[in-house]
Amino acid sequence: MNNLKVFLNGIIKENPTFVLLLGMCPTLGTTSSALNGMSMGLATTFVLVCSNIVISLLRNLIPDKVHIPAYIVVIASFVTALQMLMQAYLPELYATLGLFIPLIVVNCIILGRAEAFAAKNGPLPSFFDGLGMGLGFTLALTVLGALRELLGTGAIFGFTLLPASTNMLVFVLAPGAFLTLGFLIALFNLIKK
Amino acid sequence: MSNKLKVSLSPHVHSGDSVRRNMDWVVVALLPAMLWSFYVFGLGAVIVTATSVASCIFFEWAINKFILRNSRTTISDGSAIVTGLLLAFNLPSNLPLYIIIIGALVAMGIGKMPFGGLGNNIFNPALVGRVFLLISFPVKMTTWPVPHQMTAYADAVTAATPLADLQQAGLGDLFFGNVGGSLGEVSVLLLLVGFVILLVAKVISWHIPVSILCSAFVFSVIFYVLQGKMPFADICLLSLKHLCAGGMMLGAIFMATDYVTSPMTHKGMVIYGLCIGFLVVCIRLFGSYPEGMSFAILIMNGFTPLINNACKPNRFAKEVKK
Amino acid sequence: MKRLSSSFMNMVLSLTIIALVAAALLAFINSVTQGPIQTIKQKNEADGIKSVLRIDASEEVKVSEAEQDGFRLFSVSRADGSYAGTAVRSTDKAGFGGDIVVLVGFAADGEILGYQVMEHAETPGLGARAGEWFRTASSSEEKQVGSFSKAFFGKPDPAGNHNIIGMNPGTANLTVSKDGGDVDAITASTITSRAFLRAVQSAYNVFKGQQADAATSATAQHHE
Repeated sequence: MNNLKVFLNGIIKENPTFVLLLGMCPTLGTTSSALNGMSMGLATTFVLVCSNIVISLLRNLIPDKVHIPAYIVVIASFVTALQMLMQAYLPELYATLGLFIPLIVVNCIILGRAEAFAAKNGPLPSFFDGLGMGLGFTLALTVLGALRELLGTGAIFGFTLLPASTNMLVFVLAPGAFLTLGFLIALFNLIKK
Repeated sequence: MSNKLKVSLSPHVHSGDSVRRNMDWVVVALLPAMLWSFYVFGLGAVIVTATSVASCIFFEWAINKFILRNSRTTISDGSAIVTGLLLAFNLPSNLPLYIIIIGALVAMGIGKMPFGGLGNNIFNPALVGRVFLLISFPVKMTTWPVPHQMTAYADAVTAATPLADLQQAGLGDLFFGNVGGSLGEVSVLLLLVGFVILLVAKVISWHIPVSILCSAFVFSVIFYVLQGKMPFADICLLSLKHLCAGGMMLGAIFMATDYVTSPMTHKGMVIYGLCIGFLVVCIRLFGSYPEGMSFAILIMNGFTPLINNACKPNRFAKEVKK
Repeated sequence: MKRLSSSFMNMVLSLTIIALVAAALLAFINSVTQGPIQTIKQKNEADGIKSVLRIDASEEVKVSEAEQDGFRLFSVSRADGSYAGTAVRSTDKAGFGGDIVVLVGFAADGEILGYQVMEHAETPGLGARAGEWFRTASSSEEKQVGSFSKAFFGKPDPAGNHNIIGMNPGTANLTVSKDGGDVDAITASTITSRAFLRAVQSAYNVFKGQQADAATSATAQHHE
């Protein structure tokens, strides 16, 4: 399998949000605006790429029976590092995403890709797999966040497009996340068909 | 079950029961409360009702035709009219038109049609529409016009819900419907007339409404007693007002009893009703929204399949445990 | 290269090494970021106090904290030693969804300089608007709109006065207009508005009480 194909696989064919339905907690929790969704996606991408590379390098040094604990340690280390760096150097972003950053540890996408891809492939394909999956996730979260922000506050990335009287508050709140995600998945299925 | 099932050979007599007949009776039962809302809220009530019914019918037709591409439309079974009426009953009479249209779109486009239309929806469509609007436009959905402004629509003078200040509201006013509120929920008396019509026409049974009202009364008494701030007589009066205020009657009689979204057996209906009553009181007393009826019914709608599963009647010819 | 077999020794070794490397790496990052994180935490707390006292965030100030009747007071003085104001953290327990915690900044004469809602559990879109509502002046005149667009899009917000910044609770009546006060309640959220204004009023009372204490006692206490 060539690297480009691995990369594109994560964005469209096996999009983690719309097709694999992985990592639903951050998907629903952080997408109240396009910027938040994108930041969460990029943070996850960072962890995913790093953990994929490291796990792929270590794949032959980790005995089968302890691979899950070993992977979790690797992933948790990157997440903790990310959390500390973000807290120190991007405090505003940390204020909105802080609650969800530790949850990246248990994000199924990361452990799933470590298991399904990085444990079986070399570092370079693993890098592209992580990047593709991460960007697919980022794309989905950004679209979801943009839609919710537009319907809920009349803006996208903070630029106001709709008048205040049409703002539907429900889309900024949790139920709106479920509704929007459901209809986006339906739309994605329709397009893929 | 004491009366044994009798099975006879054909020919059978058709009882005349159909979706259309039931929906017609629901509309008849809603009429007294609807006419009262026209009398109390005047022109605004007429505009809101007409818009809601018309847009519900339109969206059901449009979704059938352009998205599902069904050759046969289902608007003639009358369920869209009932949804439209019930949605209007849950709205304040000065609501801007575009919000009503959004509500109808959500009721049909999210509450009903994605599940496959009438009979397949998990949640009561009219309530889905109302709750969506309540969360989306909280200010407009919770400022109700003061009664008896016959010709005012957008300019009507508004006031907060009697629920926010239940101790001040008179029980008589609540019972006869001389209070602000959503269109159809104000007159308890006329909703009870509708209940009797539905019972006589055998469209619904008494189990759900009665169990909701009993449980709401009992639990609100219990909670107020536990708070221990009032003498017992006041607690009973306040709990009685709870039954007459807000969407309690409308919900118990017309919304919770929707065939599709409520349990099938009598035992299940009672469990369902008791839970709704409990949830309403919890949301009203401890929640951050003033009214809990629609939330409570929707939550229990979600539990209906489980209740149905737990309360299956004995299978025919199954050995009866002694 | 063949994968290591799952012998006991291999498992212990590989897990230990991975854990040690991870721990060392994290310890290093922690030592690098600890300083900035501390600074930011302190800055956030100071910024909240500064913002309710309308002091520029970059300005150096001295904050002294005190406690009175269960309220926390932060007296702030500027770099040149002049008194800038006091921020009071105040709680009202009877909001619609429970406690409302506000931080209110007062000038020496009791004028409200600013406020911040720190914690609340009010209804989204209704009571939750307290954070902006009481600091924004509403349009003084009603916009004229045609009768159709009024019916279709709804009436514009009515004119009213709900900006408490600049009011002095000592002279103004800080209750909602429905109760005869000078402040318009948040539309459809009278209970939240009452709780909020009560919290501000009690903050003011505590602030005045502390001033009185300081004035009467010969030894002006300095709480560091």
